[in-house]
Amino acid sequence: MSEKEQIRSFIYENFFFNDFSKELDDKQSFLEGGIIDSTGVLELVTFVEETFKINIDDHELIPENLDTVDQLVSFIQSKKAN
Amino acid sequence: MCGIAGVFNKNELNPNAFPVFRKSLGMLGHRGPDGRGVYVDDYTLLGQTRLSIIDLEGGHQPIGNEDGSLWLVCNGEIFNYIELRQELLAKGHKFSTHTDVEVVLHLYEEYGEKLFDHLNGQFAFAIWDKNQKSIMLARDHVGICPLHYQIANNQLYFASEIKLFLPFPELNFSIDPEAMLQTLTFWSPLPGNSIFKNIKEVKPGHYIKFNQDHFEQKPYWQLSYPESDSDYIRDVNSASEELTDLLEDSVRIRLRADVPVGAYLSGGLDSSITTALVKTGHNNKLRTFSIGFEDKAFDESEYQKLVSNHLETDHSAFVSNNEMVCENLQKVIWHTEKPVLRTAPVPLFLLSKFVRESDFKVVLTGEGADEFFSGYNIYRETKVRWFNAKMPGSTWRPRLYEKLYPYIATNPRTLNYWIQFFQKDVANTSDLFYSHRLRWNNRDYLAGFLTQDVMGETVGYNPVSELEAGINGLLDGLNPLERAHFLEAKIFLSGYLLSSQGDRMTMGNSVEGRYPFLDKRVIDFANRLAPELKLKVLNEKWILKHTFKHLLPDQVINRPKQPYRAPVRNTLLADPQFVDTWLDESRIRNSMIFDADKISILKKRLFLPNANVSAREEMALMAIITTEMLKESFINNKPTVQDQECRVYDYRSRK
Repeated sequence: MSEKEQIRSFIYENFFFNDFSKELDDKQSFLEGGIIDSTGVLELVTFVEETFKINIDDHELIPENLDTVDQLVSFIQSKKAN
Repeated sequence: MCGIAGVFNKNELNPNAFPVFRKSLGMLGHRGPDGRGVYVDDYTLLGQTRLSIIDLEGGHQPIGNEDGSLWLVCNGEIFNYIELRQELLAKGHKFSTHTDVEVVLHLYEEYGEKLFDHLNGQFAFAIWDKNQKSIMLARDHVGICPLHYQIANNQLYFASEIKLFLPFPELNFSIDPEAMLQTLTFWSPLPGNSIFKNIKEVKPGHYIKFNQDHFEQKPYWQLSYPESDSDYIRDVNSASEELTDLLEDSVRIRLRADVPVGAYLSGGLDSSITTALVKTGHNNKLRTFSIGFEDKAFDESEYQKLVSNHLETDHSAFVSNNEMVCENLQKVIWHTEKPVLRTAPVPLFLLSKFVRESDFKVVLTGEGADEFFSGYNIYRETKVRWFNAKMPGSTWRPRLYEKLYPYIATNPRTLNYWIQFFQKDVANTSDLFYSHRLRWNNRDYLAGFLTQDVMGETVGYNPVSELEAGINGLLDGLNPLERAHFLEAKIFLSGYLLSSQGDRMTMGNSVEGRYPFLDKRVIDFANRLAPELKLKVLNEKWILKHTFKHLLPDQVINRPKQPYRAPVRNTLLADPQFVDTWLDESRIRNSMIFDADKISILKKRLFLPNANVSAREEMALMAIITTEMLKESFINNKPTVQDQECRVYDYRSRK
């Protein structure tokens, strides 16, 4: 699975409870859409760190890096590149 | 307090109504273990189950007036009855009892629908007016006492609690999908509704007169705020003086009873103030009661001891734990008669049981101060968001959220998330629901657990639009703090706090709660206070602290407010069998309210070691479990009741 697919599947399972009738736009803000709450952010970060073997610094935990599927993918890629 | 009920048919009562009604009163036995009475004529049945507090020997209901043309059943207390009785006697009225509520009957004779201006109390009553052939139902100003009704087969049925309707074979029970959405948004159905289809409630501060052909619900009292700046109370000394006089008097008349009155002591500011006023002004041997938790994160015992030692009350604490909450939740939901999203009602139910076992049936309690004196964080949050809205780009202004919610700063990993959360729509200050809309957004998440069928029944329905229509312009012209207060009082206070954590939890064990902060004079006063006297910078309930600090230990005055909460996840984990029973996949599938597949994922998550179960997931779990409990008690396995001895006033033309 690509990074994008892994992220999407994590979100469907954990925040949509596998309701595949729900649409998830890759540019949809998790926060604006009420998809993720503060506890969810922690889960998402843990998932990203463990799955993609990266460490995320606290100062990187900002919506610009984490708030949509697309942002997450490019953030993960830039972390891996470094 | 008591339980009341009735049936009215403008043509003629159905013949089976009387025997079923007599039996049904057994459903309100907990509200009135001390006796039952029924009035019956060709059109009307009135019934009461009595918890005797004033005029223990006499004081039976229903009560008729001098010529038998008016009959009353009343649940509650009219605290200014002594003064009213004197006025009415002077006008020539003749009383047949010494009970407080009889004044309602004579006030109605004297003033008709204007009687409410005279009442200071907590009540729900019905008056059958034979001459007019009408029934009037009414509820107190803020909705301390419950009153439900429904119309079926051309008959009106009404009762303190919905369960009274269960024995009537012609009445059906099903969960109302719109009320479910309201519950998932506001924590309770909106005023006027219940969780069951076709079962309504009289709104707080309203009455309904059922005439032969029509009826309408009318307000007799509204929250009112100053119209111009010069009408606000701004002087601290005169505010303190007036507050002291009002609250002292409110406490004084709430001690009127022919049985001993105790007090709840939570360890917070509000109940400490009411307790101090009783102790210093009236009762040197005051008995106080409190709840502790085995889970230290929720426990306030230390403060409770501090206050009880300081005020030298005869104090007892009841300690609740997770197992007890699981064990009692179904019984509690039988009493709340609606789903609840928290476990917090259960310890309150256990506390009132403890009170009753200690031979007390009346307690004073501190609810209402948060609603009218700016106690909740939502008021502080509204203020901070307005402050942020003035300069949305500022990086330091949002740090004030950390002051409001210290826990967000404890985890730097989520701090940014939280700041973004509170900054959402921050500039939209013209939104009349600015203070509350962020909270209500959880609905979409929680509603995601409902089945497609239930969602299909609510297509196009939005609970916030229904709220907006009901408010009908009443928020216009109010300042932001007042709007937040108005919404809290309209929705949360009557629908949740005074119901699922109030009347239903005390009366479930035949105990009456009395609320000095909810005296209508205290509320009117609080609404006239300038906002800065209630919320001084970010210091909540400032005027209460300033006025009563000489009565209480400094630690209680200065402690940060701790909202009353009880654990959810740990409670559920304490009894896996309990969770298995109520979240059983086939049960959920048969109920067809919540989506069984999603819930099995949620359930798995609950049991994962080290899982981060979020607050809204906890709310979802509670909504599902408690809805299943409601279905079990009200639909699948209705309990039965037996007829019991009762006093009957029979005026039927054929017997």
